Amino acid sequence: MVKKIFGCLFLFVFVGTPGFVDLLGKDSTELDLLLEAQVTQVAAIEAAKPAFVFLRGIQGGRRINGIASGSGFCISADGFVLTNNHVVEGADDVEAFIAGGKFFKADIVGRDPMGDIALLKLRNAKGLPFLELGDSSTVRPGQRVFALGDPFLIGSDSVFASGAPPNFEPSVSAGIVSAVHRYSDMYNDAVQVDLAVNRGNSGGPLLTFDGKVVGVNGKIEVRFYIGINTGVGYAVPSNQISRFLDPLKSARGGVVLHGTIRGLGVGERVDGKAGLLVTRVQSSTPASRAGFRTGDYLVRLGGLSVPTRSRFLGILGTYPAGEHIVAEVKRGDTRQTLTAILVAPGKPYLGVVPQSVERDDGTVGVRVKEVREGGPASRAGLQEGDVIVAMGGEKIESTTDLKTLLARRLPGDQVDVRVVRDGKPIEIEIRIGGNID
Amino acid sequence: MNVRSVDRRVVLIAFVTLAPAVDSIAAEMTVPRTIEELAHSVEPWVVGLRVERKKDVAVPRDQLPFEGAFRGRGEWKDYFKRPRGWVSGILVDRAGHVLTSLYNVLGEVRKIDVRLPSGKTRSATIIARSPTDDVALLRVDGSELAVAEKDWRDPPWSDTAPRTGQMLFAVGRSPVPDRLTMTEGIVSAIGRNGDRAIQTDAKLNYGNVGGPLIDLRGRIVAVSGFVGHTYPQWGFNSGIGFGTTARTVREILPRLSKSESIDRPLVPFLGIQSEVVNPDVHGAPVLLVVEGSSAERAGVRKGDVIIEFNGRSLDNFNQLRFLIFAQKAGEKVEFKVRRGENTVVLKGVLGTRPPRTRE
Repeated sequence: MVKKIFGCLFLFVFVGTPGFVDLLGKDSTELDLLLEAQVTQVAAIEAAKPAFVFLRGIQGGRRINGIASGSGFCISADGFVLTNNHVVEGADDVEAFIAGGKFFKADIVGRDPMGDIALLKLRNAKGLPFLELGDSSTVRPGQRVFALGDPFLIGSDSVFASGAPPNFEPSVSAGIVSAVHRYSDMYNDAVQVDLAVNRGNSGGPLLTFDGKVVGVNGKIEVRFYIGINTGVGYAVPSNQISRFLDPLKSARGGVVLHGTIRGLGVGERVDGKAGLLVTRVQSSTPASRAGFRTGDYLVRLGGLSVPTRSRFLGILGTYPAGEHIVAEVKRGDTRQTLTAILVAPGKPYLGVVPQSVERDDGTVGVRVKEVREGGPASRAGLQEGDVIVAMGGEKIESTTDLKTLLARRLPGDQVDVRVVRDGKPIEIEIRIGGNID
Repeated sequence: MNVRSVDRRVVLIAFVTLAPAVDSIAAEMTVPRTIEELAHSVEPWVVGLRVERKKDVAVPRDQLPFEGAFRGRGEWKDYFKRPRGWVSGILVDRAGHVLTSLYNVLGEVRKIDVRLPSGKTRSATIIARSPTDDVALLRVDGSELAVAEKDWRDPPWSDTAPRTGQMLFAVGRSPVPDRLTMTEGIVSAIGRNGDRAIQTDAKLNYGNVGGPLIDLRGRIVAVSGFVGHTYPQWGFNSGIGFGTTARTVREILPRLSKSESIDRPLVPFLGIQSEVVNPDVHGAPVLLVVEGSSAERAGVRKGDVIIEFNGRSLDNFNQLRFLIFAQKAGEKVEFKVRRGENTVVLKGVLGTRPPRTRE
């Protein structure tokens, strides 16, 4: 049994500090190696801690400790903060404390509910310590990693009966990567870890010992509803988050949609075949335009192998709508590389109630009678009373024009809309949403 | 469901059991080279404790399944009992003073047996308690010393400050006291419990709580404890465990050894309710003044913003909390408040916080 522990820690010596492999000489003992490794470990943790952010959601004027609270971390000096969507979802306001207890108000910049990620911005922040996102595709099972978090809010609340004040020190737990590319509910491509992750850890960073963030801890496997760590935790991989960062930054407080290859049907895994059989390609869809054909075998997607259908969905689940994905298919004896645009599910949706054409001031277009709150148009800044005169350079003279032009677009598309507001023409960029109903 | 609780079923599988080192007390101290040797290096101070009770602490109704409306069956019943088997402690001097987590000896205790590192078992009595630090001190009964003078060395208390990320091993003697157990982890956080405890992710379950947390040099960094509640209930380790630091232990041991229990310190109390509202507002806005509190006597009013406390300007309420906690009840304090357009200087004496309704 002791040997077993040694094996695990030994691995850390290799992974965390390649330079110390030389110390495997005869004179170095087990504890010598661990003492050397500890130096790296303490330094990496000390360096990462200041970028940690304690989060508290405010709902209806009250601080809510149970639901909308947890962990986050700075990814820029001006206060962009990553956390889980479920940490801030439903909060009217978010309070943030950085290590030491300095306070900021935080605004939700964008949310990815499917991928359980939210991007926040700390108001008036500058010069903050921050962490960099690493390459989660390089993470290997067995690699030693650590997590920062505020489990059970013990760093930001006083849990001791003596009544000591909170000390705003995040909790650090260390362990190994148990598996990669895990598929668990909404977590499509998770990094599985065995380190302690508990309620309140959600939104905190998972780091390698070179100080790079490789995931955001957000989910644990539990039994009998006992919500404490079981040694099975899941983190949203950093590569997925990196792909969502730009859409999140331009989401204006709204949601970012995930994409699918529209018009593509793939079958279950067939024994003896290198990939998944393409069973159906609808004409005039992104799938057909990318060049997929019925009978192709999908071998790789986004650079990763596609052994099963759930893996296919898992890889897709790590991409935002609007992005392109590269697929490799086997067609007869040849291999083809195809590029498909990813489209959000549902019909293209603007979130406005249009009204009949107005002509009295000489403007020809569609008057916006109502803007649906939280919809794509509202987030882009379209206002009630605006008159839409063109979309993507094409004239709009009636509500039918608007419907026709919108139907040609896909959810996730970015489109320039020309409106007349108070007699002045202005251009507004709208990211078209997907109305799944 | 408390998270810092433990499950007896886990104990059996989660521990690494080590064979006893022969003649450990008399063994010459050598620098440990392996984790196994590290554990054995503290063997002379890790003791097993068997605690027999007349009655254990009652489980609060709201903690029982269905608030006690149904009687649990089978495993449910065991869930609210302490598991059988020994727990752990630390022999702190040759006279036979043994330190352990207060949790281990709560309830109406009938008898405590201490299994000394020599293998002898002697009965012991609780002589002092410190609930703040979750420790109890026991003394082995009888006039005979627990360890012969020639064999005795003081426990290797660490004299350096623990660092986050440092490796730790929890060493205990459970479920049977003749063998050591150890679990591995790191220092998860420092400065807990008013900088009197550290946090660790080393597995602490029933049995090894009360034993030492040691570093890679075999020095005792902390005494594990803070199960989180006073009644018997054993879930399983969540990876969130605590230990009272060696510095704190050495600070209170002289008092405990004189059979002096240490009451919870009176929590200094100003008597205002405030919150961290806006980074642009400097100071702590007073939302409410507690009736009869020192704040009221000092003349604080609802709507004031406390901007300075004992000469130190305040960014926010958190800072004020830290400054109040750094004082003692009964001490004079002076603070500046902004009241509308004016700045008012107020003087008062810190009171004590009314007792919490829930422990």
